[in-house]
Amino acid sequence: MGATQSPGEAPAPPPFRPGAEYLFTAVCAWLLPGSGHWFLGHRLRGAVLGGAILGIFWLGEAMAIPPPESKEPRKPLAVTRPVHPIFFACQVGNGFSTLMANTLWGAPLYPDRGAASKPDHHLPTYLNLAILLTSVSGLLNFLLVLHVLDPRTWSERRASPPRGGSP
Amino acid sequence: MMAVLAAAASPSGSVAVHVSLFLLVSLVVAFVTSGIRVGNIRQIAVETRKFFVTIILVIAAFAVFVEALSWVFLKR
Repeated sequence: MGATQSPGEAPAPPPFRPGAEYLFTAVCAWLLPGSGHWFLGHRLRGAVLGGAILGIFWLGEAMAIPPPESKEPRKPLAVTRPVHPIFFACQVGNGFSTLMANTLWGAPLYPDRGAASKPDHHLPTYLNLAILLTSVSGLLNFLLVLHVLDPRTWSERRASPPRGGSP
Repeated sequence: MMAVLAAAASPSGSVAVHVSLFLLVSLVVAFVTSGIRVGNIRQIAVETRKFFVTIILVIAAFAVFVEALSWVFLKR
């Protein structure tokens, strides 16, 4: 079979085994977008991708603040698990930012009375876009986490030291 | 500042805000997915442009299709 090694051929790398560093990097990649790539040595890539993802997340949060004429407290409404849990499942890909936004500003403005609820005319004008931006940024960070979790990413890292190589 | 907010809140301004933010989100999606797949900066730029153009063309085609359906069935 192909298990025998011919003379002159480089020895096969040892099989990848996830350890504490792998787990730590994956959790960091989830909590702070781009930090996983930073720890893997792709510092420029991690900083730029993390900045882009966090940028659209916080742009979305800023767009979800009610207008001044509203009597509601001026807090962002895009991330709130009790009000829209399905979007929250997408947003939670951003880790710490989403958990912080939900903890600080995630409480519903008023109790849900179902069909008896009156329309709220003072919701932020672009709340739909705000929810879109925050959800897309969370889903994009899930992609970054998956890339960090991929054993091939770690094999590439072992094969070629990243500093001075790919960004 | 108030004039900008008022213009953005008008119907035509609202469409402009929606379209520009849609373009921004598409660009970020194209950039991040390309940044994950390829490592070279020049390749990332090329892949981002290709993916961005594809997203825009596909969504534009879908919008035309939906508009045509609306015109055919709803007469508006």
